[in-house]
Amino acid sequence: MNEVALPRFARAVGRHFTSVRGIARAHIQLRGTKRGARVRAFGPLLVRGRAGIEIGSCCVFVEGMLPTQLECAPGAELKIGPFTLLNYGVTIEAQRGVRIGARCMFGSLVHVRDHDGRTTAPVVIEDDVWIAHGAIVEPGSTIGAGSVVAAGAVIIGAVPPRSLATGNPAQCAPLPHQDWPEDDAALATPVRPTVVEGARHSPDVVRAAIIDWLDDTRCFGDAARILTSDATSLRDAGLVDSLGFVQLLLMLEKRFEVTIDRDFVARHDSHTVRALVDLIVRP
Amino acid sequence: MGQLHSIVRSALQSGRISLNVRPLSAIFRVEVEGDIEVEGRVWVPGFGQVHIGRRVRLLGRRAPIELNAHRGGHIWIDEGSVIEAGASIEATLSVRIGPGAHVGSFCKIIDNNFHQTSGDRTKRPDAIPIAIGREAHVGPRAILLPGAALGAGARVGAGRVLSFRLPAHGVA
Repeated sequence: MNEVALPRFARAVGRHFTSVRGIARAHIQLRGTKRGARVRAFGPLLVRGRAGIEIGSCCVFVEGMLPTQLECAPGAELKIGPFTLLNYGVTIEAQRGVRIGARCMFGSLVHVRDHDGRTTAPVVIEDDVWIAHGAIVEPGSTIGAGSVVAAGAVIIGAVPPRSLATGNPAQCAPLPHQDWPEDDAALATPVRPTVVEGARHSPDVVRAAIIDWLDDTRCFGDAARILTSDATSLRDAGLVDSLGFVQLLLMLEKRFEVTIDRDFVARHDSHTVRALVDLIVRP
Repeated sequence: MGQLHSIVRSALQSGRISLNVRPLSAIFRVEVEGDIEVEGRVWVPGFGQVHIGRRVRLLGRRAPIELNAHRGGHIWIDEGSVIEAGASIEATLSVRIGPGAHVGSFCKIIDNNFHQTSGDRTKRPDAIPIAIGREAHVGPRAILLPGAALGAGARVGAGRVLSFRLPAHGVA
């Protein structure tokens, strides 16, 4: 069953058939809901309260080992924007209102709810949000456009636009900039950390703190060997990914009692030890 | 070569016939060394290779188990490992579960993020192979992301998210 060089028309026919199958399945399983053109469902769906559910055009429900569940109480609204993709096992419960924007991506087993048995507060998820596997969005949360919710995170409250939310309860940090070309202005703005008075730190102490943290959590004693110079990018060296970098920043903020500017992560050299040391040492 | 029929046979032998390996074409892609124990459903959707060693136990009665090797990907489950209900293993390159390892229920093990955190999200980033060492233990609902690796006897607590190496007998 390896890659077979099917003729182009055969592939086109195959794709067309798959698409038709998905549309037909959505037509049956999502009957009674308001939905746009070309909504496709490949796996089983459990739908309750069809009247309040609205699904934008071209949404896709991916097949998987568990069914996706949409629940909407009478009088509530559950709105999913166009081009949104939901992996298997997603649960969305609406007692009052859940609004999901366009082009969002939901990983498997994500749980979104606007009630927890005592309180009921609407949930708003803006456009282009990516929620990774197993994350939970609690009542009253809002997630800003373009944000990423890391796997297993629990969102309580607001996530600003274009940030990365990790952990339980989730902590937010801005996403690295390079991927947001329309936001070039952020590159030009000077970076100025807010240092709590009296807190002055020597570069060696900061550097040692970074190395220690890498040793403890990432490479078990090899950090000094892997980082040949202060200008080596932690990311290129394979020591941190975006999630790890955010965790490193949070550690530095706590340890040196500084607030790291949101724009810092946007800098193209932010992943180097030198940049981090400068950031914290410079008043 | 023992394949799907040996899964069926071992399920029949152990008196558990609620087996459902899906889809049927998995017969071409699952390689079984024999003597394994399967409860409930195992879902093998991908076109990659899945290799299951001897005396492996797949306990998918409460919820199905997903073994998803994408095209060109490999999943090895070595001798004597236990995979619990709802666990999901996805490989675009390789995931190796060492002998005697234990993967708890509703765990997710993926060697690829599938999307970039921002920018063009349709682009798939590079995979980082995942290896789980001998007799390592992954707690229920833990998530192993690309870059995770467990040394022999390492233990990952329930619900933890891991994207880095854990040395032998390490605890996270």
